[in-house]
Amino acid sequence: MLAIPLIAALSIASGPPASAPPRQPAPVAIRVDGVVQTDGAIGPGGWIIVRNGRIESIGTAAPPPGAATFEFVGGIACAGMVDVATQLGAPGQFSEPSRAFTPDVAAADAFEPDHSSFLAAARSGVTTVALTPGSDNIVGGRLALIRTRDDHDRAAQFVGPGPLRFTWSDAAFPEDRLPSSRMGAMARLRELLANDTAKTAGASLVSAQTSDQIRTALDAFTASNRPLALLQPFHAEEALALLPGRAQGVVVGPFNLDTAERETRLPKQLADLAVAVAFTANGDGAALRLTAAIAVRSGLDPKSARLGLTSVPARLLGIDGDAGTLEPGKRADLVIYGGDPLDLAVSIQMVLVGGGAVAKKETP
Amino acid sequence: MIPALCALVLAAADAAPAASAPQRLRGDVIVLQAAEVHVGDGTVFKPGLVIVQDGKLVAAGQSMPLPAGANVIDCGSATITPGLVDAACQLGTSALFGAAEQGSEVIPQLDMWDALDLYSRDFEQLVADGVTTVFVTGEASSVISAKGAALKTGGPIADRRLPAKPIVKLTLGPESSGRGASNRGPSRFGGVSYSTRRPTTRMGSAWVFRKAMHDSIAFRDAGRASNEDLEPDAMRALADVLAGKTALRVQAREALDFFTAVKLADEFGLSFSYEYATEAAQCLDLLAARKIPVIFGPVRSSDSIFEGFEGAMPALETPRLLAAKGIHFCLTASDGSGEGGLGRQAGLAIRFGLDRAQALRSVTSDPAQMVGLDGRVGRLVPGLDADLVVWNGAPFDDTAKPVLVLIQGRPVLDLQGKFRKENS
Repeated sequence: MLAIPLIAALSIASGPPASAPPRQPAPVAIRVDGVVQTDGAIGPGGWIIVRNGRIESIGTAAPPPGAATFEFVGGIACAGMVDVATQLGAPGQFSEPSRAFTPDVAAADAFEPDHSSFLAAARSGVTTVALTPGSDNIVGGRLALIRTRDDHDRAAQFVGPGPLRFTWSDAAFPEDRLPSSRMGAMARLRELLANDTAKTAGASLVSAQTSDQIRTALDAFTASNRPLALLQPFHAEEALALLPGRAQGVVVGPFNLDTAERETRLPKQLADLAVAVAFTANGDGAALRLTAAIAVRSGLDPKSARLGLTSVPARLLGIDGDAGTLEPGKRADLVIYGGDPLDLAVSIQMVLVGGGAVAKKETP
Repeated sequence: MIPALCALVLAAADAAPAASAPQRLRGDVIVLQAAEVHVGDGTVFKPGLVIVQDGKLVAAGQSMPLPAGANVIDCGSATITPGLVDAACQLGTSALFGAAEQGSEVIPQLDMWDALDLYSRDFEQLVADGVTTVFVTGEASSVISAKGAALKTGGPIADRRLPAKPIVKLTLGPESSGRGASNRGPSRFGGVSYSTRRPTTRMGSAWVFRKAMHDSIAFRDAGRASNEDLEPDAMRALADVLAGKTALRVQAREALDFFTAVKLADEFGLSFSYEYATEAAQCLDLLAARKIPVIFGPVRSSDSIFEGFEGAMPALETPRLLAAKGIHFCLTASDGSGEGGLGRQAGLAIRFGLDRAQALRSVTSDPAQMVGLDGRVGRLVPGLDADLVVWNGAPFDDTAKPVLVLIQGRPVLDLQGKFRKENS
């Protein structure tokens, strides 16, 4: 792992640490040699100016007076990674299998802001995660959107409720619980989709594995105009053609060096169909990057792979107005890598969450 | 001729979105010529030809002027029939958690469409058997099943579903009273629960049906639920049965259960069709007198003509006996395929005395009519779907099998490469 000392606040430039009343932090200026653009390509670098926790400009302005400046030779800036399916801080606490349909269960109720795993996620480059109910229920409950650090770098921060988590694979049909058939479940699913008026942005996260599970899930969600993203649809090559225009995206991962080629080539197959791919690895940035790199090795284009770590998951969670890409006006959730984020030989140089430095590699 | 053909088929193949999708010759005219064309209503053309365009049958006849630019496929000495139709199929449901809903004995508000696995290998087998349309009836472990669903066995997923009339099934006898494959018997040590099921007896099945109908009537008339076991949606669905908007099918193997069904139907002023009907031969007069349609089968070739569990009246001869009585009937293979498939059911019926033309009707136009799809499938007449089977011999003979199957004009089985050949 990277040895990254934590800097509690930007003490170099901003004076006493953050026990003082709210104040305007000094602007931050970071010089890099490349920036991952909104299309996933690595474009030219320059100065990135961050003010009040937001990106003010990228490559168009010089550091303002009084700014804390950082320069990374060879560094590439990328939006912080986003993981749509994690159980950080409370493993085992996101499954409530007493009933098949528990839409009112909220993952936010199992959120522990001080848990060290959020800090670890932030240091590994993951700036937003969703806490996600498990796969035991047909409707497992509502996701919780979490920034891995708050603006003062004290704890993780609950941002708001996310979309619902559904499981449409065999895991949601234990022998001792009703409904016992997909036919019975389908009637209740339609009723729930028709009656759920909770307005959350983003796409419902649906676990479906076989081709027919995917077909029926798509039918149910399309009929009620509900956006959905599929989670780990690994046995479904026949149904992939149904996805374009109907699934907002597909979430896969984590991949490791032992993952079967049949799974690792799925991102490329999806990209060929113009279906967006997001990666998940329980909030572990190193594992996310490895997953993306393996997808590239199996044919995915690098631009789509970088977007799969950042803007695609942000869009699936409905937070793409604020996160997922480096653009003026968005929150300054960004990571400076020593090179291409997909190059695993490259280490993280600096992580900012909301403009506050969570981690910075010591430079001589 | 041949080069033109090549170009035509190649162009169509290039336009197909994916290599796995069968090419659709939209706009192109396909002509199939064969030694015999059986329309399915008794008419036979020798030799014959059929003309297909845009997935529909344009014409069938002995000879007629061919449209300019037609793609002519010569099937030689083969016989063309309509695609077979099974009105009581039990294949294609999602293997593990499809149709066996244990939540209630009475589930007419549910839809078998939701239990189907359109990617099931069952459908490939049905296509290989020449079956192009199936009506999948509700699972027999429910007393009153979900509504059946009709679909094509091949072609694009989005085109599969067919608008059949709504039919729910009452199952009497052992399947619904706890000994069916999908049920577990009540534990000797525990109480009855949804996972152990009731009823457990033949009289129990009749009681569940009767109570459900009475509750539905009370709900319809009083507007409130009086039965804590039934969802309002279920009672509304039963009200549709009482009003004749949803048809009733009864599955019963034994004659005793058939007589119970007649009794129950009379109590509520219902008519019904009779599925499975293993002992129909014992009820011929009543079936004929009350004009009850029969969906007969399956029989197994191993069923003895001398003795079977149904006693002295052999199931194998039942199709002939039904026909002789003028009873409206069709054949089903239920969950059988291959050697137990629908073509074999027709073959057995012919071997035991059923007229060949009627045997063909009993697996094409008659089942289509029974599920309200006779305006779409079951005959080779203009305007119907171009679902047809090319047999390499006399249909249903043990020596013949389907070699080319079209569904809505697309080849879904092509053993001799009649479509493929021109591609290479």
